[in-house]
Amino acid sequence: MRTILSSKIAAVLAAAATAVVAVPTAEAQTADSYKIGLVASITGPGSFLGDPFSKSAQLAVDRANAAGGINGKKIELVIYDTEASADKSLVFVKRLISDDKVSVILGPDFSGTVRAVLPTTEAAGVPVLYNTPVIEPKAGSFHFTPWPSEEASYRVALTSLKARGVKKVGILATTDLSGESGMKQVQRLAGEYGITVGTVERMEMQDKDATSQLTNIKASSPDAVFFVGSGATVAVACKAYTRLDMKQPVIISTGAVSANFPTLLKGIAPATLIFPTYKMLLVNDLPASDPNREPILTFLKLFEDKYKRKTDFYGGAGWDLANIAIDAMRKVGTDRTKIRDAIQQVKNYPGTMAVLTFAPDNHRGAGVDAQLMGQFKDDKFVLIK
Amino acid sequence: MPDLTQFAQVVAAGLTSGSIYALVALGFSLVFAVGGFLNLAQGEFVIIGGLITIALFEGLGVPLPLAAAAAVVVAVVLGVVLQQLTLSPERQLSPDAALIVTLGAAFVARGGAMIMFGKDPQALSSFSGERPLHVGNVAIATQSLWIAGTLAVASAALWLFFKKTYAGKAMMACAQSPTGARLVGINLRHIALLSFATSAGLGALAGIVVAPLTFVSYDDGLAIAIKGFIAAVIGGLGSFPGAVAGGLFLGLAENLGAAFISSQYKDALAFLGLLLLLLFRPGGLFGAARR
Repeated sequence: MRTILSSKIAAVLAAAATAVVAVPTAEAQTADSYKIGLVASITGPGSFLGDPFSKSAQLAVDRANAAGGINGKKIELVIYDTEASADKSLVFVKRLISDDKVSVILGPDFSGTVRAVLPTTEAAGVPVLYNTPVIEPKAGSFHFTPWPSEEASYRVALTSLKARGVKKVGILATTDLSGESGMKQVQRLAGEYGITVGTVERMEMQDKDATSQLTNIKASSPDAVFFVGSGATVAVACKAYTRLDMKQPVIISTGAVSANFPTLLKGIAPATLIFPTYKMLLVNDLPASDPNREPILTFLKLFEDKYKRKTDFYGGAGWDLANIAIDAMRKVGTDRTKIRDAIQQVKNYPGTMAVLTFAPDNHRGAGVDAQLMGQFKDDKFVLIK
Repeated sequence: MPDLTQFAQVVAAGLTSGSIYALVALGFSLVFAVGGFLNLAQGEFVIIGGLITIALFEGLGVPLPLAAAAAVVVAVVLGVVLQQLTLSPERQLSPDAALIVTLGAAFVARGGAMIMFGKDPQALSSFSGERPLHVGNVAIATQSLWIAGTLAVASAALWLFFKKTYAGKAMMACAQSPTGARLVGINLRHIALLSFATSAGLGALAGIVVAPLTFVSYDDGLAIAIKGFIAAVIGGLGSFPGAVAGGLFLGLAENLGAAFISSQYKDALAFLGLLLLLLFRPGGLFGAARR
């Protein structure tokens, strides 16, 4: 089955479209067609990751096609919505490999979906560019990620807490995988920064309040509070924090603060909130000399013009990865192994995420320098200099 | 040892979430008492109430009371349409079939909300500002008072309705014995419609007052419905005082459990409490589950 959707309707139709049964046409795969597969959690609990990711990848492909495609041939982006389900991810990835015969795959994102597709894609020798920091891509494998490692992210946060003289930190972590693994990272690394971990509380993803948990943390009087997790759940915790009148610095794990936070927390963001984030949210405060500034501004404008809404780094990842895949195909054609080798040669690529550099023994594009510390001022993101 | 301030703070949080559960549970019990079926779309009315208010107030600048009233009206109209098209008593759906119909309606509403309002969670400002009130060392969000107040007013209004009005008494009669009510000339069709519309309105009201405390997302409905349903079962499905008591009980149990036992197992503790309660009081606190 071959479904090429304009990404504008993809979100709505993806689930329905995948149910349509069509006979795959053998002749669809000609020697010189360029196909990129994409699996992402476009709807469901991971839509904040997958929706901007797929929209932005589509944007990159459309733009390349408008400029003549590759050697005059159009690039096709085949999109499947995993709905954050591991089973669906595996089915779709198999379909991309053997039916759609794509040369390279973008995504998936959720930890469960990533683990589900890893062995299959490696065995098939298809390059996969993941939209997640959680994988540890091996040297020479077919897996790539543009994201800095989780450990690097938590080191950025702990460094900043140490600089503020924090000796004891309370943790509120979500019960999903990002909260679980993040909590363990903080507990493991804090000692290196002279910080002890005090009260640890947990919060369900669908929780609408965190007052009780924060009351416990407040009672243990830590120097700072660490919100570990992702998505709107962390924003719920921020609201409860302000309503409890807590005055300690509160720090949020990297990636949890998204572009819609100023809207979500209008007038109620904790005054002491700081967060490590990627350059995109702080683009207005980046110096003109910053190599990522222009790529970010260009991407954000294109995205807003097309989709009439804002996006953030998950969109940026889709844009960067799609462009890297297109560049690789432009260079070496459709052979999967050659594409893998070409991506390993990418050096100092000025993306929207970071300056990305891959190598045969380094499949993680960004380093610690991809992250900066930010805060809120008047409901806007501001770089802490 | 937790001190008194800490305890009071947690109790306040428990009463706030409990009030929300109670409002949703009231909707469940209203429909169940008269129609004899569970309305799984109850949570969708909550979401619709919140999302429409946000769209009108934050998006179009409509004054808040007007936006809220419009949201309640829309929810009631949608409820009436749903009830008339599918769930009206003359269709004689079995409770199982009605349950499936409402589940279908919930999914349709969820999809519609996603297309109309987008996938991002939406925020609404607190009605009386974001600065909390202080009672001693306990900080209380002003919105919590709005929520508790809404529950108090809604419960009082329902009580008056059942005690003082003909329609209310007729509804009680239908709840006690549909056949008997029909024999004495009560129009079951009208009463069923009225109960469904009231529950839709109550749901929307809950969605409006809770929106500033949290966020509203198109796919929140089922989770809210489940909490409201548990609250209704705790109180005794079909009992109105039971719905209020069950909601407050669930909210308190969840928050006290999260604060003083384990926040990791907050939901598990709530379900364990429910199981234990049903083991010893299968009819719920107020024992009205008799259908």
